[in-house]
Amino acid sequence: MSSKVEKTVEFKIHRLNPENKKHYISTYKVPIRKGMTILEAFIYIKDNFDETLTFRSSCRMGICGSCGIMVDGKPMLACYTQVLDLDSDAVVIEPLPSLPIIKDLVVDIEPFLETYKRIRPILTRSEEKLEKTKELIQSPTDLKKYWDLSLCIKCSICYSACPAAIDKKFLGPSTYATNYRFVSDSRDEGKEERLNAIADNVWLCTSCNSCTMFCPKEVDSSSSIVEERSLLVERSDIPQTVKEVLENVFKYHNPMGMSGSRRMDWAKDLAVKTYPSVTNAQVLCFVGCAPAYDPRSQMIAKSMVAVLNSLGIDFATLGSEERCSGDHVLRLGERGLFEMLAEHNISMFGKFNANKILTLCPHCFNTLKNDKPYSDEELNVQHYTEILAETVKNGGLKLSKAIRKRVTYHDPCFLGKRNEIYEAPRQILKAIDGLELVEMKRNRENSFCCGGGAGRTFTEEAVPEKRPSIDRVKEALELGVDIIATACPFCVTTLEDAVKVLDVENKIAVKDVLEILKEAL
Amino acid sequence: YNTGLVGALQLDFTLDLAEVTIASALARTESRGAHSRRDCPKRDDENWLKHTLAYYTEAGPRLEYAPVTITKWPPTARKY
Repeated sequence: MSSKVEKTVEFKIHRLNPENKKHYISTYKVPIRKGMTILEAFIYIKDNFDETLTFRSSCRMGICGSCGIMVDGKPMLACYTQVLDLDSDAVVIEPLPSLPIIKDLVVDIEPFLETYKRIRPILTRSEEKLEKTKELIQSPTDLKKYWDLSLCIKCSICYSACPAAIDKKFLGPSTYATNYRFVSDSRDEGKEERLNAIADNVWLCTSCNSCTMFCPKEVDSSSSIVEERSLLVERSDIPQTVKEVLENVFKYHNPMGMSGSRRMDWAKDLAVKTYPSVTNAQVLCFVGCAPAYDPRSQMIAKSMVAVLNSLGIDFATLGSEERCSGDHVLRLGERGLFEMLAEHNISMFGKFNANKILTLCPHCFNTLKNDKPYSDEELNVQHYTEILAETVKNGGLKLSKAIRKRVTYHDPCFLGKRNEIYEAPRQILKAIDGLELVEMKRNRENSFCCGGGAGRTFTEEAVPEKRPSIDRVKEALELGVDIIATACPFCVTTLEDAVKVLDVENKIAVKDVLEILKEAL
Repeated sequence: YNTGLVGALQLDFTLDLAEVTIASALARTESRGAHSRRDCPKRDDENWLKHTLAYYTEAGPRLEYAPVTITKWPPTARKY
């Protein structure tokens, strides 16, 4: 380590005294040298300022997985993060959430480790075969199938960041990744038992991607879960609720099981241009199934029409030729059905000569943009928040009414975490006169999933206290806001359900940014 | 969870083990795996294919040796 002190960084450390159960914060000013990690800063504090500061560590080099902590709201390994890389003069350090605190930054990781007892994290192979072979030889190609997943160090960072892990029925991201690591191992013979262990719980994952984003070893647990679901779909081992969603999409091309001919019913009084009577427009609006069929989400679609009309944007929809984009279907592991939907929608985009596609729903947006075969088409697709933020910036959006409300913005995972669109919706809200925008503690990439992703809006079976949405609404209530704004029909539905469950409808409302915008027109 | 106390106890043990490691390493006049000596760069199975056992005495560690039982994998040079 270089001997030159580069700067002094203030560490605000959240602590717990287990004897009197008191939470408190200690602040230390640490001289930082080039190359110094957060863990080394802790050791400096313990050696020089306060020997009572308690944290867990062992290898100091990202192998043992002992030193997971929260730095400014993001989970990470203290030993894997250099202080200068944080580019900050003051950092807030907290213990990992979702696990019981033992003392200061040390959490009890037993609940996390317990989940591994529900799978079999060792090779399964018959005794007979083991006796015959001296070595279990594997080709480099076979090794590659699971290698990345085997890098997991069981640090519990993904578990503590996971919204689905609120429900202890759920195993935890890395546990599913480990399960899939053995499923994918050419030497293993335990595939069926491994799938049995997850068949009734793997559906709780919302595909929010937090596990994959925060993993210090870049283990893609989120995708492993989708692969495991695919194997369950293959052997027709899926819960009734999931089965209904997939069957509805297969038969009616939407998860609600509504008739395709009724896809534009929401707009019957609005004179919206629709294919095939209109075959081209400046913007093709991909409405999405929830805004088309779900009564609550239809209000978002109607608001969109009002806003686009006020901007003079020439737009049309595919009408009854629009089919489910397939996002939920893909995350539920039904790739075949997803590809059928994609093929149809892509051919319609071609017929329509769509130069610019606008989506209301971040799920449609993400899948049209990032999932093959859509992504091969390089569609010019934008979420509505991007287009509207642009008009705010160049002064094209004329708002006449003030909205004197205290508002917080909930980041939809498929807009934020998966596409890094954090500022556009906030810029729109800030453009509204009188509106006071405040942030929840967990915002932007640290946002907490509403619990509606990967079809869970349709398949929710968890009791209220095990739903992520309840946790999220409580967080908003602490801020004393009038409105939780968001930019996703599924977030609106799940959060609004939570507001009803908590019986706080008179205190707080859930609205899409489009609905607030329409009120301000 | 008094990690200050644990640290102090560990320092005590670590110093004992450091002395054992150094005394054993000085006696072992070969290189083997992580035990690497510039003055004896080669592995010497004839004299040193054996475990070192260290015992406490007031004057410092007393060293004894035990044979290595080879079962499935005989030691060979690592060639990459």
